[in-house]
Amino acid sequence: MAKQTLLQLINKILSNIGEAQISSTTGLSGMSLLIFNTLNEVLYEIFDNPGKYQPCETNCTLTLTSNVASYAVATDIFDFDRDSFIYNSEKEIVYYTPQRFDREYKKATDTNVPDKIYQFQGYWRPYPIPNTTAHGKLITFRAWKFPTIYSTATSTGTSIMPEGFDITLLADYVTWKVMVYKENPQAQFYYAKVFADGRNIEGSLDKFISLYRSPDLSDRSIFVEPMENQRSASTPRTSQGY
Amino acid sequence: MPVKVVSSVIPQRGLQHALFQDFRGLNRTSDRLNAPPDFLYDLLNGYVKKDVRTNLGIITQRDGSAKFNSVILGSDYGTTKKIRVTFEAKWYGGSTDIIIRAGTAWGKFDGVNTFNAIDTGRSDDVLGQCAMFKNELIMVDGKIPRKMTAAGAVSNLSADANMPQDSDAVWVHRNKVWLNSPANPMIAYFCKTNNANGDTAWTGATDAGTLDLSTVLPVGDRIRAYRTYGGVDSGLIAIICDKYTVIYAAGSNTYEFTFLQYFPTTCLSGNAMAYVGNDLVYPSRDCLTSLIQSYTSNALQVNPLSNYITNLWRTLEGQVSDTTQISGVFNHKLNHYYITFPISGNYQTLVYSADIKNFVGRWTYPFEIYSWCERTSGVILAGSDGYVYTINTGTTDDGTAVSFKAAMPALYFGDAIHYKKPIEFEGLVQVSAGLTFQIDYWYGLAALVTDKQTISISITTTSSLWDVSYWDESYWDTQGNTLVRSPDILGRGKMVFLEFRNSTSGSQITIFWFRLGFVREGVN
Repeated sequence: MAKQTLLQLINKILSNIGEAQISSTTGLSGMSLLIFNTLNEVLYEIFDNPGKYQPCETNCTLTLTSNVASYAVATDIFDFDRDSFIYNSEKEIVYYTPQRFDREYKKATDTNVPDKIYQFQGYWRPYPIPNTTAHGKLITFRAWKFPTIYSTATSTGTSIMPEGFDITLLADYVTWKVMVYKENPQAQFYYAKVFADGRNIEGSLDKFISLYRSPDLSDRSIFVEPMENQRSASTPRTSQGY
Repeated sequence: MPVKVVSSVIPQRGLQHALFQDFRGLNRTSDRLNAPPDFLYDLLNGYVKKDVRTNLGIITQRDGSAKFNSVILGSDYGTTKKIRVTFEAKWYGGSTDIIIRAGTAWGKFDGVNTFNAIDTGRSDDVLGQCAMFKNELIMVDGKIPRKMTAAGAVSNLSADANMPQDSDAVWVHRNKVWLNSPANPMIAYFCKTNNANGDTAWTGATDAGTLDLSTVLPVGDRIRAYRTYGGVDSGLIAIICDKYTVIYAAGSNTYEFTFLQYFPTTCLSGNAMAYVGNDLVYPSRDCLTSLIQSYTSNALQVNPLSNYITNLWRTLEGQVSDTTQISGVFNHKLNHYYITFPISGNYQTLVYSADIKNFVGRWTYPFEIYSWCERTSGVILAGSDGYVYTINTGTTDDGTAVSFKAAMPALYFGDAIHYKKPIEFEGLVQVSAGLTFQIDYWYGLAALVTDKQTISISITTTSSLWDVSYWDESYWDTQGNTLVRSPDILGRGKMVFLEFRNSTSGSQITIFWFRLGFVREGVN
C-alpha cells in the first residue's frame, strides 16, 4: 500500500458521504470541490495547530556572508527549534528574542563570528555580523515546514500525511467536517472515529499525535519524549513547548 | 424555571422513509418541479392502472404489437400506403371483414396475410369513414359513397342524384343513414327510413331530408362526423362540426328532428371520436371534450377530460400540421381511450383511462399510426404504413423492444427547504421475464442540476403480469412479486428526480410501489 492520492482520497470521502465518484480532479465543483478545500484545511488544522509533527521536520541552513547582517527566512518554514542553532558544526548559536537582543545590545554593529541569532520581520539576524572568517560558513538548525497540501492539478499527488493516516484520520476528519456542514446526523459517527467517543472508540487523531508528534522541549535540559508507539500522558496536544 | 425549547436547525434526524404508491396518471398542470408526487410527469409506453386486488394505481408497461397482415399493401393502392381507415364489418352471418382505406383504394383482409383491394381509383391518401347499414358496408372518402355487400360486391351506395356525391362522414341513427357533403358543409343529409341504397332513397322533403345548420349556428362551419348521443329513446344525434357540436332530437316520426342545443367545443378530427363508457369524446383545440349523455332525459353536459395534461395536450395539438388526421379509439378491454397525434417524425399516442379518470400514459411505436379500430372481440387494430398492426399483444413491437420509462415529478419529501440525502431505494415489482430494471435519478440544487446517476438491477424472478384469478394464491404469498432494493443511492439535493426504465426485449415490468429511505440535512 502506498499513500492515497488526491483522487483516491476524494473518492473515498465521496463514498463516505454517499456521492458519485469522480475520475479527475480538474474542474472540481460541488461536493468534490468542498471536499478538496476541506482536505487542505484539515491538513493545516492538524499540522499547524495544535503542534509540530515529524512529517514536517526539516533541517535548515544559513550560508553566511561577510558583513551581511540579515538573511531571509524561508517561506515554507512555520516554526523552528530555538535550541538547535549551530555554527559551522562547531559551536552553539544562542537564540535570542528580538526584545532580549535589543535590551542587551544597544549598539549592534560589531563584526565577528556569530554566537547568537534572532529573527525579526522575516529575517534571521546572526550577531555579531559575520566577518570574513565566517564568510561561507553555515548556520544549521531544525525547523518545521508547512504541510504539503493537495493540488487539483495533480490527481496523483499525495500530502504530508503519513501512509495509513491519510485514509483514516484525514478522510474521516474531512468526512466529519463535510457532514457537519451538511448538517447530516451521520456526522457524529465520523466525529467518534476522529476524536474518540470518550468510552470505547479511540480516536485516530490521538493515535497520530502519539506516533508522530515531535519531541517537546519544555526546558533546555528536560526532554519529555514519548516512548515509541505510545503517547506520553504529559504531552498535551495544544502545547507549543515554549 | 421553565426551559425554553429552541427548535433545531435540523428538524428531524435519522433515516426517514417516503412511500410512493397509488399513482394517479400524468400531470402537466405545472412544470416538473411542482407536480404532485402521486402523479407521474411522464409514462412512456406504460400506463397507470387500477390494481384489481388493491384498487391502487400501479405503473405497468404496455404490451407489444404485431403485424396483422404480413404482406404489405400492393400496387393496387398506389404509391401511398398510409392506412387512413381501419374498420371491422360484421355481417348477418356472423363473419367479419377487416376493411381498410389506403392510397387510392379500399381493401379487405383475405383472412390470411393480405389486404386485397376491393375498390380502386379513389382519391389518393384521404380520410374516410365506414358504417354498417342493413348488412351493407358503407364507405365514404370524399367521393361518391360506396357500399359493399356481404358477398363482396362493391358499388355506389345509391344511384339517387340527391345523395351527397362527396361525403367523408357517415353514421347510422334511428333507421337512417346520415351523410355530409363538403360541398355543402353545413347541410346534414339523411336517407329514407331503412332505405339508403334505393334509387330515390335520398329524395324527398319528408322521409328523406336535410338539416341546415346554417340556420342554427352563428358562424360558418363544416360537418366532420355524426354520433348517436343517448337521450330519451336514444333519440339524440350529435352533428359534430369544426367549431360547434349541434344536438338534434328525433321526434316520434323518424324524419322529424328538433334542434336541441349546440356547444362551441371545436372538433379537431372526426376520426378520433369514440364512446368512452357512456360519454362521447373527441379532441378539441383546448382539451379532450366529453359529451356526457343521459339515458333518461335530454339533459346534456360538456366536460373536459384532459384537465391534468392541458399543457401537454395543447403542445402536442400545436405540433400537428393536419389535425383532421388525429385518430383515436376506445379499448373496452382495458377501459382505455387512445388518441394519436400525428406529429411529423414523432407520432405519439396518449392513453386516457376511464378507471383512473385521467390520462395515464404516452405511447410510441416503431411505426406511425394513422387509424384505429376496435374489433368486436376487443382486439385493437392500428392502421400504419402498408400494414395493420394488432395492438396490446405480445411483449415486443413486432420484434422491437418496447422502451418503457416512468418519470416522477420532482420529489421533495414534503420539505422544499432542506437538503435530503437519499440512501436506499426499495420497490415492489413484477416482471414477465428476466430484465434489467434501470433507475435514473438526479437532483435539483437551486439552479444547478447534478449529473444523472443510473442503477441497474437485474431481475430474474418471473411471473405472469395478469392473473386470471383475483384470488390467486400467489398474491397472498407474494410469489411473482419481487422486492428490488438498492442501498447505494448517491448524491443529495433539495429535490430528487427519479425515472424507471426497462428496454429489455421481451420482458415487461409492473411497479406497485417504491420507497426511498433518506436523511434530512440542513440548508447548505
